Amino acid sequence: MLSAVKAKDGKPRALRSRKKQRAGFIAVCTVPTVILFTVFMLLPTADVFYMSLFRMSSLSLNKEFIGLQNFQILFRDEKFWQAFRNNLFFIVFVTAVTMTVSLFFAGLLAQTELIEKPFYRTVFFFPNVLSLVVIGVLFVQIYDPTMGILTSTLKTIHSEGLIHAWLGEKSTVRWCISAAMIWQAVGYYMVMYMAGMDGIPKDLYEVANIEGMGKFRQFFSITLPLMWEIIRVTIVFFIISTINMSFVFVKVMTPTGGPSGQAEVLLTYMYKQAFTNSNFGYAMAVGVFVFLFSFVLAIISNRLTAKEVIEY
Amino acid sequence: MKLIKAIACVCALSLGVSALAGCQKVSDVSSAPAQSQAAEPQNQELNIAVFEGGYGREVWDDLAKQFEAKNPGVKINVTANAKLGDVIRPQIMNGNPPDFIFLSSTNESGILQSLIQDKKLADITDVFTGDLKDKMIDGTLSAPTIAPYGDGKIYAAPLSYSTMGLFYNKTLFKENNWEVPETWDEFFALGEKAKAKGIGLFTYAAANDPSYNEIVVNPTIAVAGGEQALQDCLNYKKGAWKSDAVKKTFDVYQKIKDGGFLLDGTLAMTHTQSQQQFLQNKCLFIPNGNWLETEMKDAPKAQGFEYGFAGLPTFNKGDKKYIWANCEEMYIPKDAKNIPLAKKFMTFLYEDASIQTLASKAGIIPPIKGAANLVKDSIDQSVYDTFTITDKGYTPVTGSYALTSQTEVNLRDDLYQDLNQIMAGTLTTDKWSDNLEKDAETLSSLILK
Repeated sequence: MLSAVKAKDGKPRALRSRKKQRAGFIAVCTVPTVILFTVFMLLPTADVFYMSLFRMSSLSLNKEFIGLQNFQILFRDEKFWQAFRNNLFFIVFVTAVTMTVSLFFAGLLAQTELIEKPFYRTVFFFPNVLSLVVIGVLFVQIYDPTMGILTSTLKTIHSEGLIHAWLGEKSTVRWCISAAMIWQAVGYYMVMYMAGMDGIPKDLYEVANIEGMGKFRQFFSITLPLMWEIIRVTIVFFIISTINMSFVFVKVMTPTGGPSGQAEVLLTYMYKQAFTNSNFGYAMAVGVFVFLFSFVLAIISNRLTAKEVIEY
Repeated sequence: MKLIKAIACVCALSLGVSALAGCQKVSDVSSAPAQSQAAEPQNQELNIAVFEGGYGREVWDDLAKQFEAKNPGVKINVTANAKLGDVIRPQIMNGNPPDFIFLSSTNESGILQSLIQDKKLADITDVFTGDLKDKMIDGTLSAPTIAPYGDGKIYAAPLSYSTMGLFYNKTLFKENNWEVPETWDEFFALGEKAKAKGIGLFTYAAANDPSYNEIVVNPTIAVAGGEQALQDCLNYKKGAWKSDAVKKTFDVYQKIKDGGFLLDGTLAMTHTQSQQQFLQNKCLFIPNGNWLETEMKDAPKAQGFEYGFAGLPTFNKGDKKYIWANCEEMYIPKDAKNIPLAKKFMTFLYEDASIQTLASKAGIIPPIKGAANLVKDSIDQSVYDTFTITDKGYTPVTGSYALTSQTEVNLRDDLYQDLNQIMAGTLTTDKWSDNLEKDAETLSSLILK
């Protein structure tokens, strides 16, 4: 403080020029990103809003302005609501399971002194290295009705009654796709949670041990509260990535959106309307809905999980 | 919430400005072709864009060479791609489309439908004058995708023509002394016999394209209620999807389900998976088209496998027999730079020499009377069989759903998705009809005029 005052009194001009320099530097660093972000993110997003007001084909050669008509249709389109429900299912189920499983494994690996720790970490993280499409194809093979490992295994243990046309039946398709999504995501979040857990001071656990606190109690009373910030962030990640990921998985695993659209999600429905049904304006209305939906969801989840951050 | 509103407003404003700017650009580009058209006829270029999947690109390179040899000074650039729609969509959007496109209306990209809706196809009625018009197989120039606006003017031309039906393995039938069924009763009786041997009766591409059943559904509606019953369905006439003809057709599927005649696991099979099962004698019949033999050329087959092509069973002996026929379209965008030359190229494709090339290199046979006999020596037996089925008393029916302006309803998609539900036992045929009738009601008011 003292030195700052002195500098202000001593050489005001130099300081001002340094301030200018600093602003210039910041501008140089941020402007390219701002431009890129504007051109490739903001403008296209804005364009989506604009195009949703038109009746147009995917070639957009003849546009007809129809105001909010696309949105009116949206609200009475059963297929859209079905896709929405499926999306909610994926968001809730995949998020809940992925979070539980990855927290469990992270706790296990972070708080025990296993020698194979790095090995497990690599194994769990491995699916993240693979492209989503590869994982989708992999699981399609697993669920294959004639030579898939799942069907074969059930046959081997004489449980033919349990065999289904996994990706072709209403009752199983969403669970099967969820399994692939969870397998894909667990490792990534596990590594994130482990990083968070590593940041918690070890002496807290030592004290807990001395006081005779069990491992589970330690997990819920020390680990969880202290890494709450990270969990909050990952929930937003979950929501956004599930919306995006479900498109790839559904598209790869059930090209038609599952039996009677049972696996259709908002983004695959949008794609179908835009490029197969040649109904681009309407697809953009779906896009607007997805945009607002994820926005609102992120805010809600942020509010719900808001809690005073515990300092340590 | 206020914050979101503010952001939305800013977004909306900024986009309005940018989009207007965008429009300006597009119209600039589209006015450009007019100038280039005035160029000399010498050294003309023709850009053709063709669907590659199944047919390959070689055939087009060959045809391009032949056309260039016939027309000195012409240079043809071939764009061939299995995802052709994605390649040419941006070109069309920028007002710089290829001069000639071969991409079927059944392609998932929906390019032809979009061009029709946007009225961006060149009128090619004058290609079909005189001889050529008489040579075309009846009914192939009147489908909604060919003459979409109901004024008799032709905007797309049928390049490939094929009849589709049920395929079976001749050897398997011979070994067991089975006859190809003529009626649905015989069909199901045969199914019982096959079941005793652990063989399924029917399978199809449920997982990725249940619409292969169009091959069964459409002609069967015609058998049950005459061609008009089918046309009423395709044109969304009131009550058409609840008619007796449709009900009888749907009941066939209900029987396949109830009798346990569907090959196990079909609901999760893609077209290649189901075809593979068929080739290995796991199943008696599969609805398919003349591309099947080429498509499964390298797939493992049951010993002695021999392709057999059967039309469809009828309800009673003596019913008029129908078979589904399909055309794949070629067309010229309105904004194309060289429409006259593209038309010349189209006419050239219908010449005998070109038909030979199309058939031998890609198995494409145009809907020209007698074309199949012309190329008999250079095509697979099963392809030839599909063409000559008409000699066995089958009448080809063709058509496509009436085109509408943009709508979220897709009747064809619903029809075959619901068919999967029938097979899964999660829907009744009455509800199936109701769903389609509802779709038809929405669509009938939107038919393009």
